[in-house]
Amino acid sequence: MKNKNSKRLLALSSAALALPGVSGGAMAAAPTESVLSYRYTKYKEPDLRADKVANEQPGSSPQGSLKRYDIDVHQFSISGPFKDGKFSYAINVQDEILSGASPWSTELAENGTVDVVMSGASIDEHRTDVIGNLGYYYSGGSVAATVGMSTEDDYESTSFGLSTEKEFHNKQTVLGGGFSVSEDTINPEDSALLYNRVNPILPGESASKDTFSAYVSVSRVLSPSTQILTGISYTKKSGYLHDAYKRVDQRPDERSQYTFNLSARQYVKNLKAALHLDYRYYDDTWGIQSHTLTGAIYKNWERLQVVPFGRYYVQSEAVFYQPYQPTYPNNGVPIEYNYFANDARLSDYGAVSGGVKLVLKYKPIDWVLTIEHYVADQEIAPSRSDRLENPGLIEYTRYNIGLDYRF
Amino acid sequence: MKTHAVNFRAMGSPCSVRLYAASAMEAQILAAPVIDEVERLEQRYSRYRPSSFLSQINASAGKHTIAIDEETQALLAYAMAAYEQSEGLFDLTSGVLRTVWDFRAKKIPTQSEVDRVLPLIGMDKLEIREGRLYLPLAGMELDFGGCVKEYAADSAAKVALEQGISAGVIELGGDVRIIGPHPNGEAWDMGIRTPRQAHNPVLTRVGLSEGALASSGDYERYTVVNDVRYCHILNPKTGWPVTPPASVSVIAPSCIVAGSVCTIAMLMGEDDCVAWLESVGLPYCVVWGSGKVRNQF
Repeated sequence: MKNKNSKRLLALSSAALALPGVSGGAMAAAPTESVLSYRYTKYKEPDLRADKVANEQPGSSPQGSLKRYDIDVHQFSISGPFKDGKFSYAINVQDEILSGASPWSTELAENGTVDVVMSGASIDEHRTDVIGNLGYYYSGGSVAATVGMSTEDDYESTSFGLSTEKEFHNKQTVLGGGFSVSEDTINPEDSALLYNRVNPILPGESASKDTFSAYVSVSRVLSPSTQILTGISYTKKSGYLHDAYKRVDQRPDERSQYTFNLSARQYVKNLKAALHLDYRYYDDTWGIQSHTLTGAIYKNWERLQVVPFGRYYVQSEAVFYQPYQPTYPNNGVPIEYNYFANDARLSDYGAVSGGVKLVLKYKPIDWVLTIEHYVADQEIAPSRSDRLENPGLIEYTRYNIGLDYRF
Repeated sequence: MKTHAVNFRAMGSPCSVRLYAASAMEAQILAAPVIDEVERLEQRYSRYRPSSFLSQINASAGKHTIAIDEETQALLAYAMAAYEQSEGLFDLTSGVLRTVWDFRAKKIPTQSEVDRVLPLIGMDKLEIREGRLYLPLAGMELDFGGCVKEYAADSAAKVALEQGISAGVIELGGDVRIIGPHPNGEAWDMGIRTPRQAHNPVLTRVGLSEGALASSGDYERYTVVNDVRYCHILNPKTGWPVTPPASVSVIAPSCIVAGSVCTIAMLMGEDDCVAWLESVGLPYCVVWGSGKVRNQF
């Protein structure tokens, strides 16, 4: 350039740089605004059908409670950039109040079906999670650290994680990776002895669980309207992995979990909407394999975003899962099984869920409403044909309302 | 991968996006959001569309203030900077002269007709306060024609970069904005054509790997009435056509700067354009009506 110091050129150039279409490309990942968010979630499982719950005597009223979980979650978060966008912070506080009864065990009913035995008293749990995240952004990449704490009446967890992202090919490819560790301590309340008769945690004692997790991911812009993301993760859990609130529950004290996920984002010009498709494969050393397929359509009007979404999930059962607890003397674990659990979440089943998310944008506030319904049933799993019904699979509706204030 | 040109029409001009793609269809998909951005700005700032935001602004003249978004504020701030630097020659309110200059009908207005509209011209009359704009006189008009096409080239290039297109060129009716150099880092070869000659042979070539090249020329827009050549470029201060050089081309980091520096050089006229271009300090090439060339690329 002939004369970079021309006052005329300086006046024009600086006015041009104030234009949104002229200013230089910002670093892709760094947040550019601060967001204060609140979410309230109501999660409600319908009451159990009385005929699915074990009776003391045939024809009498069911033993235990028919009420399953109601969960109220309040979530506050604040996030934003600082130091000219070189750093970002995020703090998330979640307060969860859970009430209802949990399946205690299962038993074979006289008519050949399996009934669930519910804990009698209603459980009231209060859990608080705090997660803090600090990110640093440099040209072409970022690193972030996350610290988390969770406390419950009988449970405590602390976690720490590091992650990094690096951009290549003019931001068309992003490589990511990270790891996290956590330690959980379980201090069951006095009545715990009443629950897990096989692996009791005695009053005054505690049990612990350690988790290590690592992942790598790569995302790639294939075209302006198509983006794909794929990743693998490995998680190893060790320690007390039993359910302290089940009467008989004996699980291995190690569990390794592997996931592979593949996601695609496609902008569909005719619909003027973005299609999100995600597939996840999961495998673990307890014998569970699962497939999850999730789809969503992001459709924007001027102030309104509508996101209908749906999910299909199917899993195989853990090798030590039994739909009901065989009746053995002293409630002991049958000797031919080293391990035993009748937790429905370890059974083979399928689940479908669907819902819609609405976002109404009135600067500086986005109003968010989500409604989702979820049904788990073994009939949804295609392989299932001759097994007994596994009771305790749930159905729920989740309502989420909230707002994001941007500043 | 080879270069494909996706041609389209916008802002009254032939336009193209040239980029690397495996096939013409892929090029079309890649170019779609870039073209969408040009169309967005055309819809917003076209004076020919009654529903455009610009038409709403002009309908409010002399009646009430109107809220303007940040992009419009920044465009007006840019135009105001160009107005000041050009001592009033670059003026978005000069479009009202079209009401007395009907080039298609080859009708030359009288001085009194011109004098009637001159009071409606002058960017200094605009009142911009707290995100609101007021055109104080009924009949005043804004016309972003002097900068929106160039701005659209910049903004479309930004969209292309955000979409991951790193090599390419956007051309909107003679104004060129580089998205990025060829994948091997080489510059794009640009030809400046000779005005007022049959088939416009290439006058000079210049390689650009970034930034923008804008050109203005009276060879594109003029009307001859009674053997007098009237350029369609009107001086907003006098209301009469200027005698501009045959063409001016300017290279700048952004197309909006290149374009407005060109436009102002044309408005300065044959005699004063070089002094203006020298004072700005950007690379330029001027061709006079006589055929004389000053190439400072």
